[in-house]
Amino acid sequence: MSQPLRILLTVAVVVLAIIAGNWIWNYYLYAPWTRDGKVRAQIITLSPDVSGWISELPVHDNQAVSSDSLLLRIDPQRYQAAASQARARLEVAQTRLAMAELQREKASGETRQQASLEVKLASADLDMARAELTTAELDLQRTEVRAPADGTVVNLTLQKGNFAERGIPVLSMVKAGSFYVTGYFEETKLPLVHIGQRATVVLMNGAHSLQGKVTSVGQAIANANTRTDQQLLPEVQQTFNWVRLAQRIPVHIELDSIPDDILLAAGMTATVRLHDD
Amino acid sequence: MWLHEIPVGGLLVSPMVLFVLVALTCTAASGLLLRQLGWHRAIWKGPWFYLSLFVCYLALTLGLMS
Repeated sequence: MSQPLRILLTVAVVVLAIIAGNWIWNYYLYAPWTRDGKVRAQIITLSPDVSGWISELPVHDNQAVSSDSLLLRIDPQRYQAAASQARARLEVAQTRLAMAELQREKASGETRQQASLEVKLASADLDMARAELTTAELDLQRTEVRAPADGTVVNLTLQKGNFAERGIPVLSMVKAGSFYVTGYFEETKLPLVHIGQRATVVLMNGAHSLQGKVTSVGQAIANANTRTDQQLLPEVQQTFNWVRLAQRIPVHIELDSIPDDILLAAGMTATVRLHDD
Repeated sequence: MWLHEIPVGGLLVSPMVLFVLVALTCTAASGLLLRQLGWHRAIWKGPWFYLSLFVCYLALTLGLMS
């Protein structure tokens, strides 16, 4: 083979390689996929609305519960007593009002005006007693904590006999069927991401791939430079001059359907790949 | 299809590692084949040629497997 033809052949392959290399670079760096995906779910944290001992705890860890089923009961005795007291107060107030009305009927002249005021006071007292009774009954009702939705109890460390404080979370549950995936995409890949795009999610165990679509893209992430110290000065981070790490933006993916044979747990790692339309 | 993490005995490797292995194998096989057929004499600068061939194979693998 002549020398020019040999040179031409090699040069042609090199040129082809440059084009292919450029394509690889663009494809691998800018294709909308990420290894940094997480399975997530809607978590409900339940806190009792009243304080007290936990007298009944019919659920155990990882138990599936249906909406409105009893999760825990706080010892109701104190709240029963409070309701009885409020009921008695209501009766007292009703009687007082009746008495005041009687007095007003009997009164005449100057004392009548005073008696009318007494009726007004008794009537207001009655309203107050009614409101107190409503509150007491509500408290009594709230000694039962019920599931707000279908789901599964997770990481239950609560024990019967613990003291539950009002407003402090004691139990959390995963809402049934609320699994979704968040892919953290580098900001360089974001121009290729748009809402409604089809997505394939491969779990780290590799056995399953799930289909879904992009529902939303996070609009904000924390900026470390805006954090302030105790003197309210901004803690500006130092950076390297040459190397910049791309920030990652969360992109939420709704799953079309979850096969029955697949066990999803919030927090699992997944690879997310978005498709061109 | 293959653009996800590849688990190798508990280690999760980037799919690129797999693609590179495939491309290396193809390049070696091509080199052997060219030598067998005696066509290697038609190549001007061997290392340049094979490096380029490797990159082309890599692009091909990436294109086909993802």
